[in-house]
Amino acid sequence: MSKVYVKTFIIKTYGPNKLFDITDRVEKIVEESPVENGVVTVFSHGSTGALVRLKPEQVEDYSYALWDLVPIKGWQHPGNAYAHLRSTLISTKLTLPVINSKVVLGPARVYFVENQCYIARERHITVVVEGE
Amino acid sequence: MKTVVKELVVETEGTYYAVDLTSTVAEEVKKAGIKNGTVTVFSEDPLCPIFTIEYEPKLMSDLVTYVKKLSSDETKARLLAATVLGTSLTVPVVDGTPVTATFQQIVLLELNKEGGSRKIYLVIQGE
Repeated sequence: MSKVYVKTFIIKTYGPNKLFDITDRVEKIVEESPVENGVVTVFSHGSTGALVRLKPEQVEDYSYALWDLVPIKGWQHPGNAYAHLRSTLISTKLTLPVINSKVVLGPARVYFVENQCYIARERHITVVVEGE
Repeated sequence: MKTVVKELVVETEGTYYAVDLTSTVAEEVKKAGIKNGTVTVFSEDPLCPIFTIEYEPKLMSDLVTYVKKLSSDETKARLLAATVLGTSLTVPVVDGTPVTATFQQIVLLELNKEGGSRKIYLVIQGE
């Protein structure tokens, strides 16, 4: 019989171009869920953040590369178009396999990308674990 | 856990026409009677990506500007954009509602040369 387990947590971020490691929070939710095998969907609320899976040693390069993906200037939407476009392009969701109650991540970790010029911004992240 | 599948058709009026699917998806999730789980929104047409964005005219116009810059040839730019944006999206459902935020809509973008009737599949899973 399939099961579903849902939890939302909040992180405090700052930015722009900062990555926040949320792997431990996601792993804990998967471990406390009744699901042994299935998928976990991680979703960040809002339209300026993003979720990515990277190796820790790739984070610094990535944070600079974001300027190449979408430059800050040249848009019509006032102020933060670059952050919205990055969020849409990179996506606010990640779906990962769950095997034997563990998230399959390989050598990588899950990061929330803060694109906005904020200090102590609260970001809500919902995790859904589905399977048997 | 149950699974409810729904087929929908949306009309697009031409290239770069965008459709805000947020309220339609929320209604179907409500009808499905699933409180907690996920909804996967899938566009049958490979050139009609589905993604989240703040559905605001200037920002949609910025997205089209971005798409056009992906290649010097506009047809190629549209092909690239469709695969970068992707034609499926999964959103959590909590307390019977998809968890998209106030400024975060579920949007389909027409990237074919002409508009038309586009089929959308919703797969709502949960309890």
